[in-house]
Amino acid sequence: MIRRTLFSAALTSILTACGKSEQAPEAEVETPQTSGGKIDARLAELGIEIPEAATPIAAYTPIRKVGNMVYIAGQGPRMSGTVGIEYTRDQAYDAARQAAISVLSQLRKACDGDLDRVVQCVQLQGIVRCTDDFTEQHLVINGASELLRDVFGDAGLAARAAIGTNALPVGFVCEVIASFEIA
Amino acid sequence: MERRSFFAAAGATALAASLLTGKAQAQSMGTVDAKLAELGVEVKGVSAPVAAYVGWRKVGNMVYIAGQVPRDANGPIIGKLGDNMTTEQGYAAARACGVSLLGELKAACDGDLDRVKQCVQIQGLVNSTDDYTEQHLVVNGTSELFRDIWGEPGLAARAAVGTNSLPLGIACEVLAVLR
Repeated sequence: MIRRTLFSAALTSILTACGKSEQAPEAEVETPQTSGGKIDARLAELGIEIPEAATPIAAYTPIRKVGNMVYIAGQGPRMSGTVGIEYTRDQAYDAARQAAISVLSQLRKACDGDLDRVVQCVQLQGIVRCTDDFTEQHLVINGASELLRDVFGDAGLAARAAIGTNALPVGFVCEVIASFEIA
Repeated sequence: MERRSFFAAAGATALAASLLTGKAQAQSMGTVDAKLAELGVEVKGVSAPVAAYVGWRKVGNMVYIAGQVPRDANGPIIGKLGDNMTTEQGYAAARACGVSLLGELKAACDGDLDRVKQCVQIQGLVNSTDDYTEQHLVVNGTSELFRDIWGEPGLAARAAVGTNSLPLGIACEVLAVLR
């Protein structure tokens, strides 16, 4: 009888402790949409804070879902300019990384807050605004690819295309278009 | 006496079975492989990606292939249409992209290109000067190869696009989605 009481008390305190750790301050720093899964833990580990999904700047929808495929509209960084003029390749790498974080914000919304549903990144198209003689778009777009790999592992790597162009909306340094398979 | 004839019959059956299997294996080399041989197209094994990506992704029965670098015996085919490269040379580069696409596709199909039902989407990016307008003829290098191999199912919903610059200065980059 006493043993049973002790046991249930211990169980209750353990469960309460678990409940408390889920409400720990670290979790509250993340935006309200997180579901506390494995990918969210990875993001916290990498120090990546995903912003709220942005609203479109023109006539389009940021996300389309078809069955288990999520198609995300091209995302830009917070940098405008041209690689080879205002920006170096390494600065553009950071721009591509920013664009990939915007991709994640749309993806999380498409997954109803649960990024653990992501099975793989399927296709990634990275377009870099650059001078005619800039030929390292593939290294710039690594900024996006490597972020997705850091977050999702090898499943974050995609069938990719890296492309240069002379002009992009709002003068974006790059634009990243991605599609994912989710569960 | 019975045992001897039994073994003889078993031996004959085994021999016949191995002959039939051999014939079946020869046939499983495939219609597409035969077509490629006929066209003189050699599909090479896939090379390691030059950056953080994979050559292809599969989702159900759809295969998404990464943008391919055109290569010949000297390495990547570099140039700019409208500047130092003719449309015919661009066509050859796009055809080289097509052969690389086939290499990735073969890997995605576990070696059996007969599994391909149709080419769904092709995107061809052509390194061009501002006034070059024959990108569609360049990308025919890929499309016509696929049509020669698969007939009408090899044609795709296609986009041919010009751009000012591509990785490594290559003449074109072609991506494809197939079922």
